[in-house]
Amino acid sequence: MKPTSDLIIVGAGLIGLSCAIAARERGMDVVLIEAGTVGRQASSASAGGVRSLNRHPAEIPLVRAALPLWATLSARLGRDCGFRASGQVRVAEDEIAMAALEARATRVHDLGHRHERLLSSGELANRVPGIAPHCRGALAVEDDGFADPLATVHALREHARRLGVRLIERTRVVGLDDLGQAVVWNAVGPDGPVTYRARHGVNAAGAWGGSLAEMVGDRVPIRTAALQMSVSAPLAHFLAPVLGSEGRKLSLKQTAGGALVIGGGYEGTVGHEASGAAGGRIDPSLLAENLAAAVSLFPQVASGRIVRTWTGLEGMVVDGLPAIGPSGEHPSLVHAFGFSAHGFALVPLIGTLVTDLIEGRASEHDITPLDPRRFAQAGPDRRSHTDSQAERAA
Amino acid sequence: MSGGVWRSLPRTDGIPVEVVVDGLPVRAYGGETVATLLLRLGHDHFGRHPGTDRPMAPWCLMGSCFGCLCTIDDRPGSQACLVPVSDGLTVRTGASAVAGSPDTPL
Amino acid sequence: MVVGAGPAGLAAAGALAEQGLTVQLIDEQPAPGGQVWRGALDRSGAGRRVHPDQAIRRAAAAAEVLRRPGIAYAGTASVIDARTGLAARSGTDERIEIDWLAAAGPGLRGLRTTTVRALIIATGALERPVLFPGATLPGILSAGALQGAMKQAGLVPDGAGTVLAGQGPLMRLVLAQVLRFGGRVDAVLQLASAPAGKPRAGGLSGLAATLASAAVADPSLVARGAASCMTGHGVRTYRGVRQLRAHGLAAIERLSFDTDDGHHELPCRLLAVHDGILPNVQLTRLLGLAHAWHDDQQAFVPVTGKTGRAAEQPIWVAGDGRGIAGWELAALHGELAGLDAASAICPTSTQPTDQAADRQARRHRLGRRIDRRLPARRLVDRLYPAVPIERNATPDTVVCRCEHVTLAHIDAAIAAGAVGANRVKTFTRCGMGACQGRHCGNALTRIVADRLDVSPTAAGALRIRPPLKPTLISDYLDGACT
Repeated sequence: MKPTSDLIIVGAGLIGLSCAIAARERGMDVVLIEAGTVGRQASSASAGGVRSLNRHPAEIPLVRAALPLWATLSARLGRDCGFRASGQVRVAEDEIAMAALEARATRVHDLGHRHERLLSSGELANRVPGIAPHCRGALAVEDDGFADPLATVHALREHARRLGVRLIERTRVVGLDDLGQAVVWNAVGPDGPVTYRARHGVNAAGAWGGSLAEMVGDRVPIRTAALQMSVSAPLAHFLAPVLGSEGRKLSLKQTAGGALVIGGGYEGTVGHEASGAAGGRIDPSLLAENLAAAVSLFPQVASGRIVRTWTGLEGMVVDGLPAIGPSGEHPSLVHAFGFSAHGFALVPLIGTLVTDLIEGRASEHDITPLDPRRFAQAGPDRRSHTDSQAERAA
Repeated sequence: MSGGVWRSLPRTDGIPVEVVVDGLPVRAYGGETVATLLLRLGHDHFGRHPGTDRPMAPWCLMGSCFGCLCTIDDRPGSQACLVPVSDGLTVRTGASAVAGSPDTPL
Repeated sequence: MVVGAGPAGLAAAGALAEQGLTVQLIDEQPAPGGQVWRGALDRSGAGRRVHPDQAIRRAAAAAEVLRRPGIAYAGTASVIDARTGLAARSGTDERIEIDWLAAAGPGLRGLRTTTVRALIIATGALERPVLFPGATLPGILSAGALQGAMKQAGLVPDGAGTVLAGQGPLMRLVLAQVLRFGGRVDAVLQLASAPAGKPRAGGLSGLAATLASAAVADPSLVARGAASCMTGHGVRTYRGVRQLRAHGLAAIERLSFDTDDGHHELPCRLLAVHDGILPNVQLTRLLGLAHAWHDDQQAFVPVTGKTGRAAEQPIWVAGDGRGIAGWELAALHGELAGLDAASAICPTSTQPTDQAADRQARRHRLGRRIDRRLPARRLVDRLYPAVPIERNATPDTVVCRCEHVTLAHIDAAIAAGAVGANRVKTFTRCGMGACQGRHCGNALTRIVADRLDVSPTAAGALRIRPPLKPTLISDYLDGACT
């Protein structure tokens, strides 16, 4: 058995990396275990939206707190994560959509938030020049933006390595035991079974977080989705903010290099990759639907070329909210998974939230609605899946 | 243009077609591709690399190197070596392989 | 479906149709015939005369299959994506879905999805680039491209400044063809292909043994090869060339290089380079087939059984794509794969016994004919090893043309911890551009293997994702299923 660490984190995606860095910066000895390779799943399939716009009210304060952290993240890590405060704009393409945006604007205002602003069709045309004329208006957040998920993974991984986080890849946790106050992790690595011991544990296992939670008897209803993404060859710059569309699934943005990154929560087929690794397959009719949504907002997108499409497996919790909080069953385990296709924005903050929980510190942020124990009581789920879908696209 | 690098073997037969290259009508023959046509006309490069702005030219002439990209029938980024000439085909060269850059129409 | 209408694909389609199966044959070139018969079928083409009469007859005979009912042929058509393992969903036989773009003609353009019971991949080979400074200048082509321009369009290098540089039998063939049709070649540069200071692997005795078995197996090939070795056609030939460098501003203007005799400079307006050819593995990689590194060909090759079938899948590989072997073997492979696929789809239990026996006998004969030709191919591999990258490449040499990634960028990524080809890709963007590694993939594997001192298998190959080619978004919006 390996010597006892202070902390073992399972899952080396953006969430796990962020937690590892925060814990290490607080002086903990950290082991980060990853079943595949770093950042390979949802982190690679992220659209990279740093979005407080159209967020579930429970997450609004958290994302608003994360935004200033994004602004300084690249400097902190010594490597460009590609963050741009480009703004996020959710367009209404017809009257029904506009009415829905207006209703949302009112609700959010009543909750005391001021970051979302309605735009008339004229204001939208100024804010997003060249947008298709049928667009009625929009809801926008000026200081939202986007970053580069792959660059962020690289930056976090390198920083974690520099700080001395011990990263172990191709090692899958298969069981969890108690040993006094320690968490004992039984895993299978490239050389066979291996056991790790730590005083604390974090479940950042993404789509596999539910299975990991079950090992200790926590129940978080979650399903696996293979989120599809596509990227185009560079086009002359025409789009600054990130666009979504009310009533459709769409995330459309243009990178600094001119490429279009197109997603929005479309789900391919979950399965194994051709190579046998966990993954998913593109659904071509959904890809066409995704691209059609982008073309609807900007017809010239049709002359762009898709250079690559890919999927990453993401965990979708039944109520569309992540499970962040202490385990109900195990004294030393903290959950931080199930970000349901909109975890990217929280990456710079999640490390602090989780290490506060580990150290038993009171957090300045209210994460009660995200408590994993919310599913513990028997009975019907409190929110249907379809309600949460409307608020999910990142 | 480097001019004179290539010479055409005489043609015994051949169905001529008219292709418009950078706004100018040009006679081409069935069996030619846009790439061999442009080489014959003396174009030493067909486009420019989007990142470095360096001139891009064909290397493999069989569809795998992507050096022959130009705008064919208003489709930017077309592989000229895989497009056979046809009557009325339009070709624009010299642009950045970025669609919609200032010297190509969107 | 058969992808590729060269010698292998045409033979495969013919064999399938003959056995009563319907075939969709697609090829991204504008005309069938692959690379070897490029321009051979075009009666009015200026390049047709470049082909010997025998080649024209063979091409015409092979293309006869396109007349057969049951074969639907589409040129200027490219595979974009392919999905396997759909049996569970469809509840019937193993199914493969192929998304492909048909680009011919107005109104006919669009992305199609075709579902088939078997897939034969006959996408042939790609040329291996030579890495040297200035290699991205206009005016530099592969030798295959030079030959292709001649065959397709009757274009011949004219005037001063044409140079051929590389190694391999194609160099001599192209030289002879250019000269025969009145083109001018100023110099031939034989690039040094043994690693500096290292003897040829296997030594002279190994080479002699390979030569002996090749001469026994296919004496005419060996004789032809020997004859072509004899003549330099009166063109100035430099041997043992290294440190090749192309100079010029907007296009190539001159070459510099070293030999044992010293440093040389030549004016140059057209440079054709060659360093052998590699199996085109884009589609086989996309499908997740197993590949093995072949040291003799310095390339990854799909792992297939004797008939070209990939284990456990209704997928066959035929032609140069399953190992560089030339057009005759390609046609044999194609026929064998077609017969094998037909047997797999229509198992013997549902067949009249004599037809099944006949198929079996034919497969056996084809197998023997293939085996007889293999030793000669091994000789070719031994005689013409790939040019070691370090002989000509410098840190500023571009490896990935699409994303402009140099050898120095790759070395920096490896030093920063990129432990394989795909990691280097995510660090540097090498292989993430339009060609998806067709041009740089082989070199990347070899560079990573060399720097990390691991096998090419351990260094890995670029993961290939759909679309196989950059695809217009407008084409995605107009789709159809068949």
